[in-house]
Amino acid sequence: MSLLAVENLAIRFGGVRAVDGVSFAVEPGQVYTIIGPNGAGKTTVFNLISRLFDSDNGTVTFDGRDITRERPHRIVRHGIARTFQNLELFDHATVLQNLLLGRHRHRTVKLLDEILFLPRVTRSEVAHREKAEEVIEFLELEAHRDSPVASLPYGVRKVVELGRALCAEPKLLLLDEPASGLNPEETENLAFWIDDMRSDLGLTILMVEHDLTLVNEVSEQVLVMNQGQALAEGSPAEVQKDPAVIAAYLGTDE
Amino acid sequence: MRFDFKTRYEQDLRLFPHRTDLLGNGALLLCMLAAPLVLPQYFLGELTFLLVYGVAAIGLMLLSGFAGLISLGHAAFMGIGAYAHAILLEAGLPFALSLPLAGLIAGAIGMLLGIPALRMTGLYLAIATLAFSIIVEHVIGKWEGLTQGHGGMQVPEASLAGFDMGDIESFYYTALAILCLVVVGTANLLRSATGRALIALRDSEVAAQALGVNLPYAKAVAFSLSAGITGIAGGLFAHRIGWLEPGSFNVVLSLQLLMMVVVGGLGSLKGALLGVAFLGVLDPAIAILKDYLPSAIGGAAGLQLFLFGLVLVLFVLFEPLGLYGRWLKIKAYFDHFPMYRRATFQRTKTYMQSERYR
Ligand SMILES: Nc1ncnc2c1ncn2[C@@H]1O[C@H](COP(=O)(O)OP(=O)(O)O)[C@@H](O)[C@H]1O
Ligand SMILES: [Mg+2]
Repeated sequence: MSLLAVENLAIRFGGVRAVDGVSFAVEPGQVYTIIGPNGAGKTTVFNLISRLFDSDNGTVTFDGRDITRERPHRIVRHGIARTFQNLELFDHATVLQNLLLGRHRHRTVKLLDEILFLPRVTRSEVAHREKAEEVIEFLELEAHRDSPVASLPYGVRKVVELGRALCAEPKLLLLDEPASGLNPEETENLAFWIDDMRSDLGLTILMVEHDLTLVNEVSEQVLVMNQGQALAEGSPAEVQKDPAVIAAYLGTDE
Repeated sequence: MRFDFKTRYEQDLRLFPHRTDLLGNGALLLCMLAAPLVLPQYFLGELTFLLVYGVAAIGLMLLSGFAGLISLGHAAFMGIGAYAHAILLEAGLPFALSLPLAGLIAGAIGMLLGIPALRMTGLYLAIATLAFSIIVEHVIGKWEGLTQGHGGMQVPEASLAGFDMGDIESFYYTALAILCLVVVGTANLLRSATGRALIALRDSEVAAQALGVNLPYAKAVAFSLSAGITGIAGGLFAHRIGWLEPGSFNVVLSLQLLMMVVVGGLGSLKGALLGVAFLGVLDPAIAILKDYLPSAIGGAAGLQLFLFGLVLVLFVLFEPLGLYGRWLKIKAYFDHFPMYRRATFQRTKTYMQSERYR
């Protein structure tokens, strides 16, 4: 059974059909990529899965459960974590605080316990910290642990956002253009991490990415979107040969 | 330079992670405890006012400084707390019950205000809270059966564990104890998950939500805790002023509270208290200044308000991190000497909110 099944998903903003009847399925353990020109509706698909908007039509099924109308803050509890195309970090907080916020879905203590800072709060905070430190080690963020996020270079901030999503211990990770703004070395690190996240952490990854070298390297299944619709689906090599895809990228009419 | 050697994660969780913090705060507390022994009555009375403002400033800091929800109407919660406390005392409740109840009442009303405020941020929220405070002022004025309206209301005598709250020393220690409790409770909250969620709310609501923060719940918590703490400050305030009128809790008071947290430094509890101390100096300074100015200016109504506004604007323009931010920079300079970089506190470009999650 597919881990994530999107069926006939649609939304329009005013006159713009941002997503117009898109269907696809992501299998467990896959790295699945959505590509397409700017404005194709890729980010909007992510926003619909994470419930920032109500879709006009269609269903989203995750792990056998219908989450089409789930409340937004509960999505991560089902096991879906995400990053944002233009970064949505907590700029005034430190890297460590950002990562600990990634642990929010795993909180177990009550408000009153926290105000009194009972021993069980200390215990749970230490447990969260240990998990965050694992992520810090995995992504080599040690040097930045206590830096305010706003003071970090763009590439590092992208890694922090990835780390924050990993701290949630999701089953499915949504990455919106993880390589954009990265230099070649950082992109190479990213490729390694994606491989490791799949093989060592057992994650399934759905990503939007323009860097076709990266896509060819890490991804086995690609969906091409254009003007809100699915244009083609297949292996990276297959879709790049597809005449409709080439036409869309060159901007000619079919 | 200062080096930190840590071997356990618990060390980072302590209320005072560094020994110097503990020493500094301990020394401050000792001074505060000794103050009644050396200060004349008048100054002790003024200092007590500052302690009460301190409680209110912590309440507002939680909402505006951490959760990023600006309130221009927090005097209303002080008013609700003050009247609730006075009415409950009048009804025969003891101080130890009536003050927490006053806080609960203010907190519950804060939560109710939080519901329509859920979809508002920034300027809209500031205006909504301002409108709320004006409504509260009117309701207090009109509800004569309960509050004796514009005629004003005498705050009943009260005592706590045998100490008379009319006695300035007893009251000073009571206010100090409550301020300490409120500071520690708030600091505890801020070093655990809910506090982090509030900070998350301020910086990015979408990301907070994507990580599992229930926005309506978190905002309701921020509003009700903030209003509750401010309500307790209002109860204490009632004893200090002795006589309650609807006008005691007007926009000027709200603006003063906001000025304290902004001048002190949004996003820091120490900043809230620094801001209170700053106001404690500014207020008498304005009074003295008035005597030296030509009477056309010195006697002008609204001079105080004008100067408050001016200070607020100057801080927002030139030191948005407030007094506490300034202090951090000075401290960082010495901690990192001789390696301090000027750019340490500079921010890199961020995207406009509206284009961020496209
Ligand atoms: N919140 C929104 N309000 C109005 N229009 C939107 C919104 N989000 C996206 N759009 C529009 O939907 C279309 C698809 O956008 P998007 O999903 O961001 O594309 P991309 O494939 O580049 O990620 C664009 O025309 C965009 O302007
Ligand atoms: Mg996009």
